[in-house]
Amino acid sequence: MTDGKFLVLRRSGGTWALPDGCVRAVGRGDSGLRVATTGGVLVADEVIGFAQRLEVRAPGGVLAAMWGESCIGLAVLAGVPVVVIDPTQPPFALREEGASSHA
Amino acid sequence: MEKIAGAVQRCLLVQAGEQECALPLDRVRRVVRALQVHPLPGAAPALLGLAEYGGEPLPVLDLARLLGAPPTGAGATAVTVIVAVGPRGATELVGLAAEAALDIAETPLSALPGNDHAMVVGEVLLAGRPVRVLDLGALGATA
Amino acid sequence: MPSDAKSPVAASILGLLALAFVGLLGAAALLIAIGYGAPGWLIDGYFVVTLAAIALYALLVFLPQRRLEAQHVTAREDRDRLETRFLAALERLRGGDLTSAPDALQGVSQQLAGAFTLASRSLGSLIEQIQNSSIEVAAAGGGIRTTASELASGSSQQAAAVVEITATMEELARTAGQIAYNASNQAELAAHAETSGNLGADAVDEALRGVEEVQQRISGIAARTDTLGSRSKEIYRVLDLITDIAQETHILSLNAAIESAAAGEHGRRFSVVADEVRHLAKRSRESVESVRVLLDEFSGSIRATVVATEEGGKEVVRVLERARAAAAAIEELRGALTNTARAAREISLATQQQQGASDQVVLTLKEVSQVIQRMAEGLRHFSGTADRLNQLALSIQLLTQSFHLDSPHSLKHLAGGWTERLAHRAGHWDALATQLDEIVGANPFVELAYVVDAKGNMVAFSQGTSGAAREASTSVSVGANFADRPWFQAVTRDGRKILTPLYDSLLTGHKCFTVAAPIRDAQGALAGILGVDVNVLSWTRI
Repeated sequence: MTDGKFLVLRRSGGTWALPDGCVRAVGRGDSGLRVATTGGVLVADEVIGFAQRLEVRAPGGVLAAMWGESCIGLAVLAGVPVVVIDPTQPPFALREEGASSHA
Repeated sequence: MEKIAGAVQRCLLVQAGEQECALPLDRVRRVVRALQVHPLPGAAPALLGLAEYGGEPLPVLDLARLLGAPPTGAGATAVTVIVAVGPRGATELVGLAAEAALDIAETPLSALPGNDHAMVVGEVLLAGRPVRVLDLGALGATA
Repeated sequence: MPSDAKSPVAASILGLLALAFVGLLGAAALLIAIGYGAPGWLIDGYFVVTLAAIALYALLVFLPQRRLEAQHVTAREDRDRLETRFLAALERLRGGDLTSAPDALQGVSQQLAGAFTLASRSLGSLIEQIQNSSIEVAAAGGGIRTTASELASGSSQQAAAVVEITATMEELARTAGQIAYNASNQAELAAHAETSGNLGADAVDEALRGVEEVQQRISGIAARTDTLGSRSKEIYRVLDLITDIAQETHILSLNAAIESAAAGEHGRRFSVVADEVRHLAKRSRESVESVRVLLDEFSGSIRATVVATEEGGKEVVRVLERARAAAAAIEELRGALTNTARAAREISLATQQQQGASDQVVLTLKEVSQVIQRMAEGLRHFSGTADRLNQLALSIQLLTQSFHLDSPHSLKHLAGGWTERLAHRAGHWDALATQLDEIVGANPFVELAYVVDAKGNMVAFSQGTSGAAREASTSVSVGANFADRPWFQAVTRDGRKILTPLYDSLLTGHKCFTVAAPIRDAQGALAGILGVDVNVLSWTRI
């Protein structure tokens, strides 16, 4: 998955990317933005925009060991590390349920 | 640089919190000034976050915390040591946040006392100072 | 033959002679004519004419002439008579009698009598005017004298006042002198104190200057310390920079070592270089560290210096404040002293001025006193002049009184009235005293009225009832003889009223004159003499 557009958004201090094909809609919600995806609705603090290309790297063992969430991989966009996520298995921070416990 | 008899390995001596650590040089890729770390929500305490190095994303770990010591102060990590962790042949790069990169030294390869940690091979005295020799192969594999 | 009869006689004689001459001439001519054969009727005619001429002459010249002569004699006699009468009237006039003109001029032509009367009347009125004027002048003279004596007394009062003021002024001058002396002493003291104050102030100024110098030095030190501080900050920055570089170099050397290790054998030479670089970096770090230590020490000492200078500065400020307070106190003292000195000088000046002023006043007073003296002298002179005026007026008055006028101011006239009254009693002198009393009572200017008989013996007298005459005691007594007195002798001799010159009255001591008038009996003989002593002062008050 090295090609393709991604929707880049920010949430809880991190920068996240969603494969473009998964994104259905973006709208405003109570506590931020709501991104309707094929996997469900995600919340975001800010939607940065679309990235044309992202070179996604495998997450690696350290990340897997140190971070309980699953993701598609890691990338860098404009010098900023980005976590590319699977909308069906979004990290807790991006979930609607996670909005209440947003730190 | 101390000349130690027997098999030695060259290490990079770093200051992690209170203790000095020796990182095997063959695992060390680069010493850089502390990278900007972007925190990752839900990460383990030792994982400071993600940084960018050479256009690639890099997880950054707090070395002192990794070793079970109190974490280094936020402003004290002056360097990030880019190391290759994991089993040989399947290494990945991570960044280890440390206070300072001190020197290059040689440490013996033989068994050393004080290996109380998965990452710690043992402890040696270099110029009268205790230095923990680390093994970075275990990192990453620890899931 | 009287001279005035001469001319007509001479004239008739001359006329006759002229006629004879003409007749002779005619006759001669006739004879000549006859000689020449003139007709005979010419001789007849001539004789007729001659006769006619003679007759005419006698009618027209001779007879009137004789008449004129007779008239002339009559006129001359009349004239003699008139002359005698006129002389008598003039004699009377000479005697001062301006009232008897009408009597004297009986038989004189009306015109002449009228003219004489008018003349004597105008003379009389003139004299009356002179009398009145002289009375006024005498009164004025008296008034001037009174005024002059008042002025003189006033000026003597003024002189006394001037003396008083002068004494006061001198007293004032003495007091002022005393004050001036005190004030000058005060001024001296104040000047002395001023000098001391000046010295004190100078000392404080010096101390202040010294302290200020110290303060400046401290400020200088503080400034330099600041400079040092900022310099050291710069050095720190440089050190930081060097440290950064050293760190970078260090890291670089580490990375070099890492690379050389990765290069294996090929990297051995490079690793040596890398090691050297690392050592260099280390030495740099160490040098920087020692420099930093030194700098820290230096900064510490600077800070200590700063603290010390701050403390010193504070101390200096305190000292300065105290010194300034002292200076201010001294300044106040100086100010007070200056004020005192100035006040003393002002007092001294004022008293000097006062002295000058009072000297001036004394001088002025002396001048005033001199003026007053001169004025007093002038007044005395004035008084003398007034006296002389008075006397002159009196002399004039007496002169005028020598005229007998028909006026109440004419004493002779008055005396005439009195003697007439007394004449009824001539020979019977007993009731005279009453009459005299009446006279005296009616005329307050009379000091003494008395009657002596023809021999000069005092018969009666009456003393004046007003003025000084009332108080005086007379030495006159009945029976005393006054035949030796000039007035008695004058009246007896001239038979007319007379006025004596002024004399000092024995009775009152005032200036007096006596009017003496003859008392005639029914026959016109001198029976006695009335004497009235007139007090000039009282007389001139009329």
